[in-house]
Amino acid sequence: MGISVPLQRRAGSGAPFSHAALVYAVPCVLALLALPFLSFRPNRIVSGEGVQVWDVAEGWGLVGTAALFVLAGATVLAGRQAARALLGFLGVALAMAVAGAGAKDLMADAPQFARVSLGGGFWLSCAFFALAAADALMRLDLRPLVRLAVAGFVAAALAAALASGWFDSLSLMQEYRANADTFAAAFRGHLILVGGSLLPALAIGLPLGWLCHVSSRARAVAVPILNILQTTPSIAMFGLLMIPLAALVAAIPELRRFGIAGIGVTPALIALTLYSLLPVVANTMAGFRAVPVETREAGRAMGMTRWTLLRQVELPLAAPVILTGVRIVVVQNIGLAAVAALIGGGGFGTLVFRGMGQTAMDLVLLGTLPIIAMAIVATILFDAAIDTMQRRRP
Amino acid sequence: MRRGRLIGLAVALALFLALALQPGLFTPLLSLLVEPGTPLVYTRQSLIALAVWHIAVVASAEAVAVIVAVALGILVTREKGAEFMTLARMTSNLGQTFPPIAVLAMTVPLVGFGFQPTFIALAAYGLLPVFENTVAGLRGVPATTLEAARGMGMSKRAILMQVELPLAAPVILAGIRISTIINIGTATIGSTVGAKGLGEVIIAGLQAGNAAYVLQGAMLVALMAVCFDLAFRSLERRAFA
Amino acid sequence: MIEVRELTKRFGDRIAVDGISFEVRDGCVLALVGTSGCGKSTTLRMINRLVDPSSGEVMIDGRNALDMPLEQLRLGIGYVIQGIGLFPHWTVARNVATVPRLMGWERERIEARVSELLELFQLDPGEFAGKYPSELSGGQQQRVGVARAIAAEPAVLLMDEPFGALDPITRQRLQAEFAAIQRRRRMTVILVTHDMDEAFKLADTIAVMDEGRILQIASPEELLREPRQGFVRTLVGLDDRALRILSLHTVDEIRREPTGRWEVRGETLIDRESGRAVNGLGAGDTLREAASRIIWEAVETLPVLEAGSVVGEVRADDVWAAGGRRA
Repeated sequence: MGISVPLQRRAGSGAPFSHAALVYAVPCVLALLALPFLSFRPNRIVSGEGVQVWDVAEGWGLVGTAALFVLAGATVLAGRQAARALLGFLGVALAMAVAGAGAKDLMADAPQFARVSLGGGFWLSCAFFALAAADALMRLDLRPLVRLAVAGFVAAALAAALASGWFDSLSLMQEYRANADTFAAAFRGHLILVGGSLLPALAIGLPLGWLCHVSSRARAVAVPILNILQTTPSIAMFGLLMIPLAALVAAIPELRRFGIAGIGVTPALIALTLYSLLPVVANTMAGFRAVPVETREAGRAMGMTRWTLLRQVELPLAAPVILTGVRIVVVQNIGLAAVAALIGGGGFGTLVFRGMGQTAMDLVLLGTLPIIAMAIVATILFDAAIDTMQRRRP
Repeated sequence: MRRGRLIGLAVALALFLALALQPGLFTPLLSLLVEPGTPLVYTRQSLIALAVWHIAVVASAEAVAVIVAVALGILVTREKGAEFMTLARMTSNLGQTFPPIAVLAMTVPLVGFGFQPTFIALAAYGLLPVFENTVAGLRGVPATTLEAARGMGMSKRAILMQVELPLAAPVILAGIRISTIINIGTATIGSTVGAKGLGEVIIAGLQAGNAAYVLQGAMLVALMAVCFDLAFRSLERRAFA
Repeated sequence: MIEVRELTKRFGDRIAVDGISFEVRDGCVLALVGTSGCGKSTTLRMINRLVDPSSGEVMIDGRNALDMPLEQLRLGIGYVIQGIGLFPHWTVARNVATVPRLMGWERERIEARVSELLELFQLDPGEFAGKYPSELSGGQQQRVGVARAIAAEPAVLLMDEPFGALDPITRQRLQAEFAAIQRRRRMTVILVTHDMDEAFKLADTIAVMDEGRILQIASPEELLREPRQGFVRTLVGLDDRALRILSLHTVDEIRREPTGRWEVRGETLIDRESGRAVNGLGAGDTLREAASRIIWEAVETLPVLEAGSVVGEVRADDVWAAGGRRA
């Protein structure tokens, strides 16, 4: 992935009419017009028939459609970014409410195996409303703590909505209820994969990054190797690790007692750790390299020991870039951990691949949505931390 | 450094071709991995055909991604498009938090199984690094250079074609490299939704517990990625000169 | 007291510094002057051992710097560089406190010292102590850099092109400020610069270096009056040496007892001989300023004023003699 440095903050603009807003408002309206909002299947065999947004539960449909169009237009015309953000969130909430009501209505007198899934119209309009809100929040340039508060509020609202039972008629929620145990286990497994690979990656990557910074010879050896590791596609990496591990366990069966095996969590953790090394090492190097030569020399000349210089000057100055590397790794591994399911590593990938195998798209979504949610949460948390660090010194 | 890269490329390419065209050469090695009697070489499709399919999917998606991404990158760095910069970069950042597998999984309900979901996922996901790097490359052109070009009376178009794009080329190429490497990996996962490619061999191996299949599939994909990586890096070097 | 003996530095085959020797007495300023690559910075960096000498000795107050523990040596040496090297993540106060903290001073002592130094460099502690380096102008940053270097009263202060990155006006103001502080504090300083004027302004002794050797080491006046043939002459410049010599002396040195020709009438001073109003010189003005005024006013004599009364006068002949060749 190479080196990435923290994004610079950009000044907000409070233009009364935003051309940029058209970029999501227009597709939002088009998606609602052209694509089905919900999809109804009387049983598991027949394919679903689309339900347009104005055709869902009478009352909800027409009023909801009108309200959604008004909201989409309002995000373009809103004079203040805070108002645009609020309108965006309202749009998402409304789309969800309409979908929930529509599903409830469709399922009211449907046969036992009928299913209502969310359609493209729902997904795209939600996505564009969310984008409008995120764009507006970005332009507001909020302080990290305020951003976290907003994110926390949105998450809480979402959780409350899901718990309210309003969406229980949707097949996604039915799928969740049917697989609640698996879901919880997948969540635990995913966290284990991401956390369990991050710690060794940091333990190895940070010192290695420092070593590569100070020694050009270490750099010449380590960086090409890490590059090749990073280049190897994830499935290939899992596959390649299986073989030596299986051989190892065959040779020393006692290892099995420690949970080491050719398939399962062990190769997944090793693979994710290996993937994490390059971003950690590259960003640690970049962070140290960004410390001005004069600053380092001034510290040395004033009698700082190498350790003092590292601890008091170099590390604090490099920290935001290093933390950016950690964010890249966490987000990347949240995604890659899904592939680990192919070799029995657990995590949400289990649901995704099982869903693909059964052509059960709602099961796929049940695995995919939490992965995306985790990645977004991680990004928000890390960005807030990095931003806090950078704001401490103007 | 440069010589090392070319030698590396030659070795990786030779190994890749040997494994794809003459997998029989490797049977003594593969036989160490599995119980006697298990098939060693994947025969449902010829390996070279799968490799060509794999490259074709990646290349076609990449071509679309590059055209769209570079055009968008140029657009948002022009004066008129500046308004869209925040939105575009945020979308791109947000997009990259979507794991490739999720993009793939979410495309299937829209277009069904087979070649299309993989192609769409690859093109959409491959767009992001190219776009990011195009913007970074174009923004990285020193303001003094642009000032000088304007001062000499070059038209906006001439500045873009003769100054900005050539100077940004190495960074843009790096974006294409990153995007291609990611997509080679994602295309491998694409085999789970029915796209033809080398992922098929690995997945068949995993399902049948055949380590020989897994190894040859994994080696081929890894070597392919390494070849592309090294080739692009040499190209980036040349673009600097 | 710093003594440098036969100091040499080789980088591979190249000799950067070639067996140079000099000494700096306590409270004096030595300037190492030369073009880029002449070895002056390397010489400076060997004194605090940022560069290890290939051979030779550095004695600081009678102790061999090469035998001292590295950190202890550096804690006792102030160092100011062109890029300043302030720690961007620390406030001004924390930057100035770097060495006292490393030496384990008590907090009250550190705070008192920081305030004292900021005031000395005309930075209001109330306003500046909590600021970050990026919030300061170049001149302010450089002041903090110098304050930081002398925070723990080092035996020696090393300065490498300290004012090089500043615009001319700020540079001159900081040079004047530094000269004033130096007159009061009597620090022992080695200054590296390629700016001859800076050396003349600040140094008691100037060493001209070229290709790793000292070509001439002398007082500013001696260097101007008797520059060695070749490079030293080129560097010193002979065209305006009389004016440069004049700028090394003050009016006080050549003033005579006042005659009765000056009359104070209220706020103005009248020359009775010509009947014109004149402006007097100050006792601390340089002879260069005196010469300029004499030429501009087209007079032969100017009065010297102190606290509003005439305390002496300066004659043009005496000024010309001070700046001229010695018989």
